[in-house]
Amino acid sequence: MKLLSRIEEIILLSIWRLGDRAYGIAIREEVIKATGKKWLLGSIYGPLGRLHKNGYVLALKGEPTPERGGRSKVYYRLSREGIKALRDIQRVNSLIWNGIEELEFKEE
Amino acid sequence: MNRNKIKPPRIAARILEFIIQKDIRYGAMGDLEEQFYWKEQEHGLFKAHLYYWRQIGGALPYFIKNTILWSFIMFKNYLKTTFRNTTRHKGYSFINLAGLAIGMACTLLILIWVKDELSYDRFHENCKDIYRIMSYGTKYMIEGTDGTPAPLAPAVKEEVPGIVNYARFSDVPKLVFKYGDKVFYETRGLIADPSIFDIFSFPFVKGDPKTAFTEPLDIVITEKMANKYFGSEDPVGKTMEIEGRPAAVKGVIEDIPHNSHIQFDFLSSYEFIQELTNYGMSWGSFNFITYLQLEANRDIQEIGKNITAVAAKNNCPQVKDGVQFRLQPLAEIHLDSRAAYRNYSDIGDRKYVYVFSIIAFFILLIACVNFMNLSTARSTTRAKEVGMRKTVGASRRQLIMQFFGESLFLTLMACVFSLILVIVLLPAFNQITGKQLKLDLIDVQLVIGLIIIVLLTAVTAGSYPAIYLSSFRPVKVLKGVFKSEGKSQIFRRILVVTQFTVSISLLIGTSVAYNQLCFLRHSKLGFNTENIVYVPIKENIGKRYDALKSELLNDSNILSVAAQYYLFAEEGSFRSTGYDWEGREDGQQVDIVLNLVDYEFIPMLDLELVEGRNFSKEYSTDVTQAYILNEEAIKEMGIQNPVGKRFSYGKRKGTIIGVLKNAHFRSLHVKIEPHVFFFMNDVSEATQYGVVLIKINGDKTGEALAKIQGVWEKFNPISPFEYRFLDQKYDSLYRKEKRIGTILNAFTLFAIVISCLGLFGLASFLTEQRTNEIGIRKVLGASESGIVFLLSKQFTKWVLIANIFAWPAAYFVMNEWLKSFAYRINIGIWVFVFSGILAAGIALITVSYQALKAARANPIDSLRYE
Repeated sequence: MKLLSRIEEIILLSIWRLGDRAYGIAIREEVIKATGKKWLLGSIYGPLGRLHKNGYVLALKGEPTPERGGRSKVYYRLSREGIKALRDIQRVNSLIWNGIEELEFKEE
Repeated sequence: MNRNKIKPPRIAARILEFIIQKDIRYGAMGDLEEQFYWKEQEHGLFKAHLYYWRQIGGALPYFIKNTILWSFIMFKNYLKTTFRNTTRHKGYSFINLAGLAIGMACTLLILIWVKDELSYDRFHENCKDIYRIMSYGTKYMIEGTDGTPAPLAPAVKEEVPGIVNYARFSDVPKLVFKYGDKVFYETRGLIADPSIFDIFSFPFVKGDPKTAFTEPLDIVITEKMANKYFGSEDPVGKTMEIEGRPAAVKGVIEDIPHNSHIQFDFLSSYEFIQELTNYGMSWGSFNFITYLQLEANRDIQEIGKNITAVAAKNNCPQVKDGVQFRLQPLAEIHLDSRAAYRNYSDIGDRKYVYVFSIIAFFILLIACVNFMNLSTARSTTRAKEVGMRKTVGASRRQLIMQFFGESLFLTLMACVFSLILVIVLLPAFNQITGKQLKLDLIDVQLVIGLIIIVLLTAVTAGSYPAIYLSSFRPVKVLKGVFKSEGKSQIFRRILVVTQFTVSISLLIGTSVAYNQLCFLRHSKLGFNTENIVYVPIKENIGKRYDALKSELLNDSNILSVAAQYYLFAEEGSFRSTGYDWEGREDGQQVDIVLNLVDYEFIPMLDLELVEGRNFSKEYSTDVTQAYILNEEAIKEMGIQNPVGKRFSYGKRKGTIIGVLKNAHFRSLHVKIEPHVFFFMNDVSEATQYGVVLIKINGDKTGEALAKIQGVWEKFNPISPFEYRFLDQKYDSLYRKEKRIGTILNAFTLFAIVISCLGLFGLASFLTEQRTNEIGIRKVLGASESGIVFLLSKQFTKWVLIANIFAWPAAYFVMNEWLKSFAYRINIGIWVFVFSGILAAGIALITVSYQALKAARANPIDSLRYE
C-alpha cells in the first residue's frame, strides 16, 4: 500500500466531492474551501499530475471554450486505484486516530 | 474588444508549459488561461498578468522534486556506469584518455602560441590609430621596407589632414655604457622623438615623460637595464658614460612586453645620434621608421597618397624614382613577414599562424577519431546495456544524452590531464619557440577557448557512438544475435584512413621542411665561413688597426685579419643607385649594395674571382679608384668585358678591376643582389658598424680566442670583449625556420603517437574478437607468420590507402611554403615514398604486436574462450 501525501489526499477527495464538475479551477476552489489556505493553481498541478501519472485519477476532455484559448476543459474522475487509495487512507486514519477524543494537554 | 486578443504572457506560458508534467499539461494550460481570462475581467490586465506569473512559483517546488531530482538520480546512475566501464577496460580507457589528453595538450599549446602571436602590439592604448609608414617600389625592396627619411614626418603632419601625432625611430649602433665599475655593450638602443610616450603605451616607473629629452644626451632606460647598472640605486638624475660621453638618465620605464615589435633597452633623444655620428637626415636617407597616430576612421590609402605627394614636393630623390609610401596598421606589423629589413624583434608570419591552427585542429581530430573508433569497436560490450535500458523504458534521446555525457566526462578528465601536460611541456615549448608563454587560467579568452575545445571534442568524439549505440534494437541485442555490422566497419576504416592521412601529411611536411633547412644550412654560400671570428671595430681599434693586425698575426693560430665597413651577413645593407659606368644608357639605374673592404677580405673568405684581380698593394691607385663587383651587378648593368671599364660611385671615379662569382652574402630567402666592393683606406671611419674578421686555426680555437681577447683588451680597455663566429651568424639567419621546423617535428610526433595509440587499441580489440577464428585456423594448420600476415594485412592496407589522400595534400601545402625561399629544394618523390613507408611501418609494428600475441597463443586456450 502506498500512502498519499496530504495534499494528494485532499485533491482526491475534492475530485470525488465535485463529481462530474471536477476540472482544475473547480478543484482548486474546493481545496481552498477545505483548507482555508490560498492555493496557487500552479501548485495544484504538481500533485494532480502525479496522481494522474500513478493512475489514481482519469482525465476526460470536455468541450473547447474561448476563454481557454480554444482548449477543452479536462475533467478528472477517480479511478479504481484512486478509490482504493482513499479507502486505505481512511482505514489507516481511523486506526491511528482511534482514541483521539481522550487527547488533551495536561499540565504537570 | 475581441476576446481572443487577451492572452496570458507568452514567456510565462512557455515556462509553465515546460515545468508542468506532460500528461496533464493540456488541461492545466487551459485552466490557467481560463483563470487568467476571469482575472482580467475582474481586476484588469495587470493583475491578471501578475496572477499568471505567480503560478510559476506555485508549480516550481513540485517540478524540482519530481523532474530535477529524478534526473539527478539517473545522472548518478550514468556516472556509475561510465566509471565502471572506464575501470573495467583499463587499457582502452587509457588509450582513449591518453590520446585525448595529448591531443588537447597539443591544441592548447598551439592556441597559446597563436594567441600570443596575435597579441603583438595590442597593448598600446592607441593601437587602433597607430600606423607605420612603409616605402614600396624600389626593385630590391622585396615588398617594402620601413625606412623613411627623417624630414618626412614633420612635413606630413604640417600638410596632410587627419594626423594627430608622429614619432620617428632609428636604431643605434652597438655602444659601450659605463656606470661606476660596470661596463657593458648595449645593442638594443633606439633614438626616438619624445612624442613616443604620447603615442605608444610605454609607462614610466620613475621620471617624467615631459622632461625626458631636454638635453641631447638624455636617456630613458628600462627597469631591466636600470637593475643591471644601478641595482637598488635610483637611476633618475644619475649620469652614465656612453662611449666616454656623459649622458643623464631621465627616466625608467617598465620593461618592454615581449609582444611588442618595438624592442629596446634604452631610448635616447633624436639629437642624440648627431652628437655621436653624422647620421643621414636628408630627404634622400631612408634611415628612420615613422609611426603616425591618425584621427579615428581616416582613409589610410588616401593619406598614403598624400604622404607620397608631400615627399615628391620636397624633391625626395627616391620618390622621383617611383617609391611610394603606404600606411600599415600597428597590429598587423608583427605578422607581416614580407616587409622590413630592420626589425626590433623576431618577425612573425601570418602563414604559420594559420598552418599551426590547422595542425591543432587536425591533432584534436585524430584524438577524437580514436575515441569514436574504440567506442564503436567496443559497441558489442555496451550493446547489452543499451538493450536493457531500452527494455526498462529508456528513450533514445536519453541514451544519446547518456553517451554524450560519457564522452563529456572523459573529455573533462582528459582536459585535466592535458592541463598538467601543458604545464610540464611549457618550458620546453618556450625554448623551442623562443617565447615566454604562460598558462594563464584566469585569462577569460583562454578559458572560453578551453571550454569550446572540451565541448567540441566531447560532441565530435561522442557523436558517432551516441547515435550508433542508441540505435540498437533491444530484441536483437538481448537475444544475442548482435554482430558488429558492416556499416560500422566501413566507418571505422574511413576513420583510420583519415587519421593516417593527417599523420602522413604531417610527416611529409616535416621531411620537406627538414630538407629545406638542411639545404639552407649546408648549401654552398659560395665562400668559406668556417673558423672565422668577428669583433666590432671600436674607436681605439679603428685608429690603431694596423698595429692590432700585426700583433694578432704574430700568433701562429691566427691566419689572417680583414676589416669590413659593415658585416655583409647583416640584415641591413648600405645601398645606392648613384653609380655611373662606361656604356650606361640614359636614365639607367641599378640599385647596388656597397661595402668597403681591405686586401685580405677576398682571400680570407675564399671568394672566387671570375675575371680580373683582387685589391693589391702593387697598384697604388687601388686605394682610391678600384672597384670589384659581383656577376649579378655586371649582369644588371649590362657591361661586356667589364674588367678595365670605367665605373664611379658619386664623385669617386675609377675602374672595375675584378668580377666576383655570385655568392650568397645574405640569407637564402632573398635572391643574390648586385654588390660592389671598394677599398677601405681608413678603418677609423668604420666605428659604427665595422667589423674585424679574424680567421683562426680551427684546431686551436681556444688559444686563438684567448690571444684575440688579450690583444683586444690591450688596445681597447674601455669596451668589453665580444666576438661571434661567422658560420653561427649565418645559421642564425634561419632561426625562424629552424624554430618552425622543430615545432612541426614535435607536433608530427604527437600526431603519430596518438594515431598509433588508436590503432593499437583497435587492433587489440579486433584480434580479441577473432580469437576463435585464429584458434581454428591454427588447429587446421595455419602458420604463425600466416596469421600475423592475415591480421596485419587489413590495417596496413588502410594506411597505404591513406597515402593516396596525403600525398597531393602535402605536396600542395609544402610547395606553397617553399615559395617563400628564393633558393629551394625540389620536392622529390622519395620524400613521399619514405613517409608512406615509415607510416605503414609504424602502423605495422603497432598492429603486429597484437597479431603476434594472438598467433602465438595456444589454440586450446583460444578455443575455450567465451
